[in-house]
Amino acid sequence: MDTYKESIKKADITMRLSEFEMPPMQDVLIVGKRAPIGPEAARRMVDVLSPEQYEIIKVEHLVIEAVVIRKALLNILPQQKLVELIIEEGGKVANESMIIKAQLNITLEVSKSIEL
Amino acid sequence: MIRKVSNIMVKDFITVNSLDGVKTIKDIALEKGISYFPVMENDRVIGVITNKELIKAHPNRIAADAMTDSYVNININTSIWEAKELFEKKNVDILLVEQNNEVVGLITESVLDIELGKHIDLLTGLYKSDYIFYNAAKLIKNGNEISIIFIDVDNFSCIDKEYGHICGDKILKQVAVLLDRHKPKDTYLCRFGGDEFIVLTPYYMEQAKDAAKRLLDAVSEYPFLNEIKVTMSAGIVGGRRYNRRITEVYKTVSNLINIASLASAKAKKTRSELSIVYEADVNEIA
Repeated sequence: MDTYKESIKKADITMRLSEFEMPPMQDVLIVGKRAPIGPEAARRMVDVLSPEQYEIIKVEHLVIEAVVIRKALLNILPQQKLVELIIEEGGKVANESMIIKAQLNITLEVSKSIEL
Repeated sequence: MIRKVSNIMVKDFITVNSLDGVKTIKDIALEKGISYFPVMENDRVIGVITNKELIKAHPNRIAADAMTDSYVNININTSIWEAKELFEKKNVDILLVEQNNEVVGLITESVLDIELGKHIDLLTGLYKSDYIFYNAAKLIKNGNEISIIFIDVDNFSCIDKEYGHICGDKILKQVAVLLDRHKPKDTYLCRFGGDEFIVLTPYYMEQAKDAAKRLLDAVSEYPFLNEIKVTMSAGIVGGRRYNRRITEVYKTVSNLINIASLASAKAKKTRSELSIVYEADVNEIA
């Protein structure tokens, strides 16, 4: 009796296309103390693509080593306040081996009255 | 002569690039048995990686993200004593030895401790005379007054002969403890040899004399084993500020110690406990 059955080899390919983000990180990277990519590597990576737009800020935190932040954001808000906010919220979800990408939308509201 | 870092530094070290991976560096460390790597960028040291960093850092990281700034650059002519002070003051892991703005060697605390161990007297645990030479040179360089107190045990050979050398050693150890305990904090003590000790002070003569008296009293009042009465005699030299530009500090300090030892011998002869030599002119001894 012939026990050999015919076998078929095939490959299914799925392709997903999307636009490359420039730079690949948007506003902030929160880098854990034992993350596989350190803050300096992250900064150098984006520096090649978007020179001098990001800054490393080392922080004192249990699991977070540093935040790499888009410099333009620091023109809108004072560094200390911004970093405190990022660390407070990021610290709730990060662990020391994670790298978290954060997007910040800052809206400034200004209202002035003038004498007529 | 005072030993310099150039005499003991590690010369065959390996540098790594700031973009080298931690895994690569770890492999080199394991293969070559090296624990310290200066991290270079554009021919400049920007940090160091030690075993501590290699253990902590993720293997995927680059050197720039694993390195520490726990290092200090020092000149090749720095003395080993100054290097020790730097480790204590700056709390760093490593000293990078520079010559003509180029790193030519490394000093780790363990390498330094092995060297300094040679300058520690095994019986008393006190430093040997090299320590006094270094600190005297430092005081002179900083424009301080210096006085040297040379102290030795009266009739120590009689103690050895009468009670034995083991007993003599125990007495020397206790004398060292007493001198160390009662010396003013800003002075430096060493065992010069045999039953002789030196205290280097940044004091004028009168203050040095008071310090010496207190040390002699501390020893003579102490109840030593077998109720052996132990007294000491001291010679003091000093009394003027030395020119900080003295080039032959080693020779100057050697001469001062010699004069103090002769003064101590004189004190012993005249049974006066203390003999003082006021330095007249540094040029005579330099």
